[in-house]
Amino acid sequence: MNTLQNASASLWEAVSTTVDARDPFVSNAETSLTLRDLLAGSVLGGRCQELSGRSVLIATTDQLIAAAALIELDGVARRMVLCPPGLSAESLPSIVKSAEADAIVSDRIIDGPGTARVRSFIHCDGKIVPKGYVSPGPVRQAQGRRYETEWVLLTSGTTGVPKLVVHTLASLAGAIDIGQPGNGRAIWSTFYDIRRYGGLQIFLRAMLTGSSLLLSSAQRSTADFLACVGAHGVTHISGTPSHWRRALMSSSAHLIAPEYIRLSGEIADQAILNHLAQVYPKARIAHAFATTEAGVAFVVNDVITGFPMSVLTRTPGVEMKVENGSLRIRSARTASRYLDQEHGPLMDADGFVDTTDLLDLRNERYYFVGRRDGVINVGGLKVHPEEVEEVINRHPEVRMSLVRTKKNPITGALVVADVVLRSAPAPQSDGVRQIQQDILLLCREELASHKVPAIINFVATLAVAESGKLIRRHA
Amino acid sequence: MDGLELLHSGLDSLSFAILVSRLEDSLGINPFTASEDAQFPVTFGDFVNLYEHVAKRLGFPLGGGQHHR
Repeated sequence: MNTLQNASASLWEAVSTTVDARDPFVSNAETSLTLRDLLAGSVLGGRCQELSGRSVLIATTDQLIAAAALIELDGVARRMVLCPPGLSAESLPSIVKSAEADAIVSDRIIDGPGTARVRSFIHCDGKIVPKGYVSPGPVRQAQGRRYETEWVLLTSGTTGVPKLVVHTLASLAGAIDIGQPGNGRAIWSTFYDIRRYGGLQIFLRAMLTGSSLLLSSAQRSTADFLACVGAHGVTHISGTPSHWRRALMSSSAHLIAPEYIRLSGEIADQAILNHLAQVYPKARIAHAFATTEAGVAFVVNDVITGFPMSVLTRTPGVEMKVENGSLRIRSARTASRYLDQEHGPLMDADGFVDTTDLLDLRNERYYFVGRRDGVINVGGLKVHPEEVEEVINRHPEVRMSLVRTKKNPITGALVVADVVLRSAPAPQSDGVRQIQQDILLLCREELASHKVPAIINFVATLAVAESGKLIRRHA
Repeated sequence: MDGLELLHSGLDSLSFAILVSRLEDSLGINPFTASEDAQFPVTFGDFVNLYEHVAKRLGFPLGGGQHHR
């Protein structure tokens, strides 16, 4: 495998070497930019040099602008923080503080408490400043100093405040084979947003191999997106199993004809693998295991759920082991650290990242069976039980609660809450129903929709360990 | 009604997941897990047929009324 050889090369420099006569594009279906235009111009209004050595929050609504900013700023900024869509305004001050951000790149107005330390606000409307402007390449030569930019990704934390995970271009691109024949012929797309790890992998895969990329949009329906994918002739496409289930429930599913389908972010069960194989018989189907912290670990190509035991020992460049039931990973693809110290070390003393994904070994094949930390994966989005319990426990009638997972064939899992009330009203009474409604209302006000319990059970007791902690059963 | 596409019904994936979970609780069947080869329904009619088919196969009477076409 031929990975990014020169770790000191920036994304701009790496993309420069891939662009040839095909002139690949990045498109959000409404606007399309060629890589050549991106390399020659500036989406930052020509203010790239102003951000040299700075810590920059990339907080755009539009993925295409974020994509252009990433290419322009890698190697120039000291740090880039990729703000995912739907990031709450309440989270922003702590992110600005932890990331020591002193510049924001956005296509909308961002102000309010916590942003006072930000010295530069660069507004982007997606227009590329045309030729004649000093493009990032000459900027690098002129400044004489370049940075191995930290790429900071956000992932959900126990308390609801996102954790800031630090990568570099080299760690993010470690699983990408840039020398594979036919690379540039591919047209990639992804249901993911490129500000999340799964989507960022596809963005880099396309950019580093000279391929085109069609971006998704939260505003576009599944049917419309599939129609765009078909119209753009997308050959390679990725998403979570939940994305794919939704796609297969669309009458537009037949509009696409991918050669390669990749699933990640959730357990790929046998049903979704079978369905994809049936609907797209000509496609190669692969499911990958990756986490924001551990990076891309392996890809399974046999269209069977789980993975062969041999994967643990025979994956080049990635060391894996199962300890206390969970998968641990050490490789050059793992993140280096959490930016905020309160989340503790990202890896153990030997450099292994504990994914906390629990494995069950049956007939020489490993199957994912849950998470040791109880984290629930709803359609690829993580839910920390403690965050939901904290909201439920605010209700004056609630004594304690336990949030757990329930398997679901559409989103992989749903959030279920077992709640102990201070006094026990008659089951099925109006009082119980009212409390149930009140708790749901509270959760809807405080939590993202995927974190709101789908089911609330009232129970007499919850098992508590001698330590005083709730006993959680996750597998 | 039968021809209504589920993705145009106003239900997002999460709502649909909750619906399937509640139907499992009340009917005792889940056609999506009953077989690894069950088709994903596209229309409301497909969805109802999926439940009727599995209920018939398992010998379960679907309680709570008839599906009128």
